[in-house]
Amino acid sequence: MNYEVINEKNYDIYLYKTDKFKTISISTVFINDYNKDEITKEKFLSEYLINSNNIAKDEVSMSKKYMELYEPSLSINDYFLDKHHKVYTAVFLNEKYTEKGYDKKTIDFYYNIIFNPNVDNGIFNENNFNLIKSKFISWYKLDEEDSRSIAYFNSLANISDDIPLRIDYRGNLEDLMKIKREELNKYYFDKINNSKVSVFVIGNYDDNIIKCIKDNLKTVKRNDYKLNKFFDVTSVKNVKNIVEEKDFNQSIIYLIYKIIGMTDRERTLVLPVLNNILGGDSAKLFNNVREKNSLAYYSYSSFSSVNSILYMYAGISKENYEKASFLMKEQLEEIKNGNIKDEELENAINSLESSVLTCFDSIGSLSNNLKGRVLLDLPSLEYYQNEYKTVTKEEVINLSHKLELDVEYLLKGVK
Amino acid sequence: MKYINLDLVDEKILYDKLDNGLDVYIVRKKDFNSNYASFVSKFGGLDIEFIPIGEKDYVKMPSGIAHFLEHKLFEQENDPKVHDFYKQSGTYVNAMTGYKRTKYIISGPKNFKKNLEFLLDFVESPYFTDQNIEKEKGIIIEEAKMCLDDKSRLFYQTVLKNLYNEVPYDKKIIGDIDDIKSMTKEDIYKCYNSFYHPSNMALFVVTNEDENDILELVKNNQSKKEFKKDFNIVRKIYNEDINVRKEYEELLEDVKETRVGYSLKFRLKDFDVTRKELIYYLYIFLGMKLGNLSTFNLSLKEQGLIKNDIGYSVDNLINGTDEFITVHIYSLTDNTNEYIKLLEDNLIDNNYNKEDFELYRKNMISDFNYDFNSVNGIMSFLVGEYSYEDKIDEESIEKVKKLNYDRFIEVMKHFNLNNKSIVVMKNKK
Repeated sequence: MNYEVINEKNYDIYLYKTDKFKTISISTVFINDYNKDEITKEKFLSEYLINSNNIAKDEVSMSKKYMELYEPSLSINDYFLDKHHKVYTAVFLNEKYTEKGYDKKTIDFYYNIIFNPNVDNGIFNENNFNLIKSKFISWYKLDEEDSRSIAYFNSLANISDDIPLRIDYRGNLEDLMKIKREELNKYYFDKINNSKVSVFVIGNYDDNIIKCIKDNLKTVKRNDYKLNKFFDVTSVKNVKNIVEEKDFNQSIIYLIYKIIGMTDRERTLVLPVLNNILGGDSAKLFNNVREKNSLAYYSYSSFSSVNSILYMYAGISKENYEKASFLMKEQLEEIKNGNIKDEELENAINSLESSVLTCFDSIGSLSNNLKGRVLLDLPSLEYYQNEYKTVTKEEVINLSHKLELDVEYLLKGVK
Repeated sequence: MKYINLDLVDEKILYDKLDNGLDVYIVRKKDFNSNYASFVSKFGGLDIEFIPIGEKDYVKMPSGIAHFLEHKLFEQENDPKVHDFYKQSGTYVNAMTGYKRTKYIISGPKNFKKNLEFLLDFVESPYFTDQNIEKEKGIIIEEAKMCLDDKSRLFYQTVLKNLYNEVPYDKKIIGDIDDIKSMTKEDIYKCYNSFYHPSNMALFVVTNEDENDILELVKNNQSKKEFKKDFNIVRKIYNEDINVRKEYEELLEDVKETRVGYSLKFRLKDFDVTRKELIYYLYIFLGMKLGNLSTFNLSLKEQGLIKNDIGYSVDNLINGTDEFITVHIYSLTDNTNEYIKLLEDNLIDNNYNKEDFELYRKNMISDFNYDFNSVNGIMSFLVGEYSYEDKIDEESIEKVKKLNYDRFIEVMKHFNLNNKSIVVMKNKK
């Protein structure tokens, strides 16, 4: 996928033209430094900005505006890596499917969400501030009812290295209560003005759309950051065994492994293959924990190459904990011992290649891949498509020996 | 065989009803890599009382049997196993059971023709044994436990249960753990033989392959198989009336926020409008009254009476003596009584305007363009549209264009709060 770049004085625009979709996607990414105690504030800001702005001062006016514009999908997402990436995205119907002039109207409205927040005399609007705060309090309470969410965040929080994956990106109630409305506007624009700004456009755009984007970005400033792509982890000294009891019917087990000393090739190509053999669809965990032993409805693995982590998980009955834990670990041991059938490797590669091909059908996936290439120097979709097939069994076995169990976590359902 | 032209979104669907009764809908998207097929049986969690094929008397199956059957169709007598077969081409395979239907899906970019044929074959060749039924029980019991921990699901089940007196919404789609333990090979075969016939099924395909080739493949596949002639399903007809089973129920659970569900039950024929039109009008009505364009939703949040946006949905039920349409309204509130009073006043104040109506109508039309922007979106459209009236035609989209405000006002004159049911789920402590 060949893309074009327009280098403006203070920012860059990355463009991928395709007429495959009826929609156009624009993402504007602001990258800046962050402290962990700012995470809740950033999440709060994202919700506040998307719910109203200085043109549509309340949720009803804002919704009306969305509907007048044929309901573009507008979102703000926060990613906390070594830097904070705040990604504002608009996906909207090409005006061929709406009305002439609506591309510009939609883009102007989108940038008003970013640059024209709902303030009164320079201070965030009190009414909307309180509404968003109530919403967050309610969300935090609902999260406490969700066993899968509890198990996921509480297990990862115990990883022994200080890596981004440990961060609970939802924020927390304590930090929410500390947010001061009077300080938010200054905080927000300080962040904006100290951010590296990049724009990503996918779809059947034209010169008018590019002009419209440029017109809206006249005030941004040039900032540059050196980005740390990956986090290496240290060898495990003591495995943490954690059992948390909660009033649920089902128990959930997490086994979290650190991967020590991965090479770039392992991180990019071998790790996804290893994960797929171990805990992808119809893989070792599925076949042995679920199908052969009927211990779980779901049992999978997942990984974060940025954080050098792989984890396995399963929903089980508490009385089956030891057996499930043993079987899950045994699946990894099988890989370490070289017990990988040829078809397991081929199937894993086929699955990954299919996933890549499917990405070409999604404007969101194309946009994400372009962002990854530009901002984190990740490979193109074509690279993955061509290179997964070069991964060998030996490479998978070698990588499996770099996995060290760091956390064994059980959310014990005691209902 | 014919093409259904959806001019409004500049798309077309190839449709055929095969000799064996199977409805086939195919959309070609040649620029896309992905292919997607859904094979749907009109058999779901509500279908537990019926006369099995070849028998004379009604039987009552344990609840959860449609879901159990869905799991077991993945079991094959000979290799390759279903999951293994699809894994070879990196194809996603799954299935899901609802109250009324069971759906088997495959999606992926590779090997589509073979994958599609395998889908038709595995769904149409059951292999149930005592041993493989027993094996599955542990897996489904774990799934049931996972569902028990999902408070929103439990809440919704109670909402539906309290609306119907006879239709078995009191039974869970997945069944209770005792139901799951009681499943037998014989019962599951009875269900399969009674409901998994092409005339009670539909196939939906979105593909980059030529649509006529795909249709030919399906026809060839089906022509090689023998299906029972004069197939007739005898479901129990429930004498459901307009009254709700329970007007109020309080559930005490380990929840951190109190949920309130407010539901209304209507008889379709009281509205003098088609099912689909009524559902559209009700969605617009609820949007104007409770959605983000309504000051009601905002003002309740500002007062602190509700914690988040009001949610709503519309459902319909056909397999009774009458057809019913139900409306469901959900919120988080600590003050149920005050909220209900304000909600009811708002619902019957006849305060709407044409401008908002047109905005909703305009966006319902543009939603179709968003649907046809992706393979998944097209499949959602096909399966969703078919679920209304067991057909998809030119009118599927044109009907939205024809919705009008005057008609809306007329239809909504029949809206009332006479048959309501309220469910409150709050903390047991």
